[in-house]
Amino acid sequence: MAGNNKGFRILANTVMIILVLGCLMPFILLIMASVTDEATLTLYGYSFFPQKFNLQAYDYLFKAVGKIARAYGVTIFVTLVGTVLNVTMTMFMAYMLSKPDLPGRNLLSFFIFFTMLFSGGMVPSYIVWSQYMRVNDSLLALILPNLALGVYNVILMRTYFTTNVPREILEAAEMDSCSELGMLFRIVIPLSKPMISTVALFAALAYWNDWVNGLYYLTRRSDLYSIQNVLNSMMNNVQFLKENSLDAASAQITTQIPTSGVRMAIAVISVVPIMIIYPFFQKAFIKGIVIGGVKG
Amino acid sequence: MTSKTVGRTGVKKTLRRRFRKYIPLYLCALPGIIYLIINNYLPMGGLILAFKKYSFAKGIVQSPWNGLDNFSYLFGSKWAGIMFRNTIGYNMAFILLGMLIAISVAILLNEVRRKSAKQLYQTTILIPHLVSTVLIGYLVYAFLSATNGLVNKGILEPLGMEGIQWYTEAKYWPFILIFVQMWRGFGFQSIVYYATIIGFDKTYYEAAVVDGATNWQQITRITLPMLKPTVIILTIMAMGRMFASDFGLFYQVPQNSGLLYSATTTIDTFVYRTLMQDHDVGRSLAAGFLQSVLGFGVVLLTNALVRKTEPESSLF
Amino acid sequence: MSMSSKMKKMLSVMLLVALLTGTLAGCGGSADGSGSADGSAGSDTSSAAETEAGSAQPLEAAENPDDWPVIAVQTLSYDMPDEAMVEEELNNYLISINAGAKVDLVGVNFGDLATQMTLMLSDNQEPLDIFCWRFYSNVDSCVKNEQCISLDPYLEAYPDLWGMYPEKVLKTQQVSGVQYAVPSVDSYATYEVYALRKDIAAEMGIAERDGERITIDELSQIMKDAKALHPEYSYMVNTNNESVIGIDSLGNPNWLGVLMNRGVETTEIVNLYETEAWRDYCNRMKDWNEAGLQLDDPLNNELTITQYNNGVSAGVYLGGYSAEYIKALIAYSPYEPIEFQMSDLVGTSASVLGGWMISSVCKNPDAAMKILYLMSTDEVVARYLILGVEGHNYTVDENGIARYPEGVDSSNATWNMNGPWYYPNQCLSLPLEVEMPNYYTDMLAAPDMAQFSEAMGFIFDSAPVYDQMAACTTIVAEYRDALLYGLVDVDDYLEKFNAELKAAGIDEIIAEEQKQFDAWRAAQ
Repeated sequence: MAGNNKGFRILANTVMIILVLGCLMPFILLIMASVTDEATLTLYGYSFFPQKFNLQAYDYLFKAVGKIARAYGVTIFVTLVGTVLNVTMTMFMAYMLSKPDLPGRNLLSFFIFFTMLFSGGMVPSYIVWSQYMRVNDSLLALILPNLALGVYNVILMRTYFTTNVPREILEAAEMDSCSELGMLFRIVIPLSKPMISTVALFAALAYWNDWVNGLYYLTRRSDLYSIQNVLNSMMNNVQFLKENSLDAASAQITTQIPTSGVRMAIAVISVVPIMIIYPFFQKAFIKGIVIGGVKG
Repeated sequence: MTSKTVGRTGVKKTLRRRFRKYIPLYLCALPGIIYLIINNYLPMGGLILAFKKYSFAKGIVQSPWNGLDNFSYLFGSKWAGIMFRNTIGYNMAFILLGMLIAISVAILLNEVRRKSAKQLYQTTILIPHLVSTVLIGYLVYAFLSATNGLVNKGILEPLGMEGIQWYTEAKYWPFILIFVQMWRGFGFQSIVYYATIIGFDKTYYEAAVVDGATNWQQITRITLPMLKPTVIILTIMAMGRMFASDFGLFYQVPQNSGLLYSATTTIDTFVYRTLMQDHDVGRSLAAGFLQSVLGFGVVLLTNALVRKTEPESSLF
Repeated sequence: MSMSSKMKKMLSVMLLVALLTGTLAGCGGSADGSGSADGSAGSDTSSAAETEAGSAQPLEAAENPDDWPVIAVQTLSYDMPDEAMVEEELNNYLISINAGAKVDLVGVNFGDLATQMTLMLSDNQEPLDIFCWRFYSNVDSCVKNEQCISLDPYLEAYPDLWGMYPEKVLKTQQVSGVQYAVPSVDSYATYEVYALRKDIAAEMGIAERDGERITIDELSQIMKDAKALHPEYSYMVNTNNESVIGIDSLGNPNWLGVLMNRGVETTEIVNLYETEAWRDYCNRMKDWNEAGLQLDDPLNNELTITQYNNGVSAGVYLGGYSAEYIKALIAYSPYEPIEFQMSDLVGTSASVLGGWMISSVCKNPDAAMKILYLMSTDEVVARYLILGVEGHNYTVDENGIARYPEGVDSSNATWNMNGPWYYPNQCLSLPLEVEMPNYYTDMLAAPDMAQFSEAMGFIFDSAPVYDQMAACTTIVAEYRDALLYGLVDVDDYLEKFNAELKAAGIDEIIAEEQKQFDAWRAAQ
């Protein structure tokens, strides 16, 4: 029986190690692709062990360091501001909805929930944000549309507040004539740190990985592009050249398209920061998934 | 402790007094409410375009009505069938396979004893979940590019086989897309199930061991039955998204290759393509409108089911 | 039970709210819309069939340039450091000639064009006023979606502009007799050559055949011989080539109804995909692919001359109006070619590669037209857009050739100078880094030597078969590339392709085209 158990444990470890490798390998291939010599590439393709290394792609990026650094700066700024905004609004809404005797609570819940059902699509959204709100061609365009409040997160957090913050503590606080907002800051938030950091993480990831807002709203200010926008518009350029048959004269514009090595290199540098910070937030991340998955 | 009982036992106050007490909360939540009105409700008005021929000159309101023309076009083309088949088919595959893989991984993860190893596994299998679809498009390309890809150049050709033109053969793509989705999402789901499993009462297992149960018996007789409620609730929740699809997965990963359309067209990619190819806002919104209406029905249904099985988790 | 009735109530409330907000949003939009439509005489945005084309006066310049309207003009210089500088210099010039309007240059990236233009053209607050349909759409589709306005009111105000173009070229930018765009000046007629690397041709002993006219059979043989000698190269980059296939596509890149023989001396519109000629062509492409002549993985590669310049392919099709011009085009390449002529110098509607329009959201069409007029006729304005600022972005040598400054080339230029052909009038600019001073003057003379398609100037109005067009377009997008690059079994695939096109109504499209074409010819 013990032997049986041990055998199973070995199996478990083996499978897990294979899965772990399966998760990491594509990223290693990406890094290798970014340092493979172009000539080697045409002969042997992308490989985990390229025969000849070449750092030209990074050299190219280094020359364009101004543009890359600017895009990075935009990404970081937008991620920070957006996350703070998102978490604050989510928290207030969730807290309001967590009050069982709040007048209009059901209506408000449904008001929030209803937004998950219908969406007007790209053009109406664009018209609202660009023409009524005038956010286009500014950093606000990267922060406000679509990403600043996730309805799903509001529901998650509301559930967390109602189930994880003991009612007795709140009632005791009310006896001590603590205000509703005071309770939020002094009791609910300290007790809900895991949930709040989870929402913050999801929001931060969404901001970091977003490329849609830049594409839609920064039509005249490509200098405000985030790193994902830079990556995405290069991919679009390559696609453009595939889809349009160009005569010789017009094909000259292609001299502006970076080589595949450079594209891979930019992909690498877009993901490196996440990989570096990830170990520091992985605990909160896992906790968040558990809360979201099981309780949500 | 449902909210209802609290409401009844709580201090009875008149509506007005309660309202006054919560004014600060309403005020604090106001920015969020306004945000939802701007970001979600205002654009919903645009759905009327599904019944109009959109004119760029006239805008939303003044564009002329064209009744159900946009819908009859949609159902007259071959894409209506394909996009619904694909959207629903892929979602079913994602739900079933995802559950199967995630439960298996969760059970295996539970068998790992070394804490550091456990930590390492958990951390790494979540990494694919962190990156954008644009980046996943690059990763897939590094494997499948016909000229440079690892699969052709590194595996098939050295084995003496012909390379495959991956981006032209639709028949491979259901598998590729499902694989990519599993790769990206299995870690996330596994952790959810794993967290459920470690919450189980250990004494069941201890008793089973005393009775001489094998690992397999422990899994089938204890773990799986106890996972049932979680499985049900997660599946029902996933079903609520039956008509939605991840645009990036179906558009960027296959690089919008025309030859793959039969395998990669979902409602979302169809909406986008109609807009970009024909610049016809009305038609693209007709598909979006259907998606919203059907999705709405499914969510109501789902919620009714959840309320029956696990009232605590229902959305409203 | 009580839950569900409550649910219903809330649902209806929410729907009401959504409807109300929607209507509100709409009301705002309509107010803006009508505001712009009342702006001036020339701003009529509805199709000209409904309105009599009143003619507008040339723009009156306001006293103070600060009061002049600012017209947003699409350019190629996306994310270019010198955008502000070029804009300022150009505006200074516009003030110096008392133009009455200033410009705001809006660089759009090619890859993002499809998405961004659709959005910008729906934006009436900060409109994009002047844009080019090339790479975005076509004249017919822009008109159908009401993205552009009729230019008929300006026909009398700017006679010298319209006088620059041959009649049939102007007609390519009309729908139902209404002028919607100013054509991009070009040679309006081209022929194709197959360019083979000279070093390889020399090895094969055929270098002295430079300039010879050959058939496609001979080309197959030459490429196969070359492949035997140098198997490491491919020899063909892009086989999506109307001129070599020998069709006049009537301006539709999906080839839904074409004239064979490039439209020279034929007036019968046919379904190309059903013809024997197309089947033969597909089989030939299959043969080329199997012989390793086609570029590997054509659907994931840039199908451009870059492949030739990078030494991946040793041969490539090139188009142009003269042998000298084609040589000049490729002079910057590291590999010198020899040329085999594949087709005759013919002009079709598709040879007018682009056209410039005024958007339907434009608030000041009179001013926009003035700017568009200057872009097409004023040498200084054209050069700012195409080349940037003289002395900063380029210098002019004694032969009248524009040169990059020291240490600058197209990869690090601070203004995008690679697309003169995109702008309304490239012939007003200077040839850039080529040893051919008559680059643009010969271009203007080229139409005199060309044959023209019977359908040159005919533009199909797709409105009666709008649905069929859209359906067939998606089918072509799905099937055609695989046939063009010889990736699939021709007989099987072609049968499926044709069956789907039939089901989508290609015959109705062709019948409608023939009907309109016959009527158009009768009216000539």
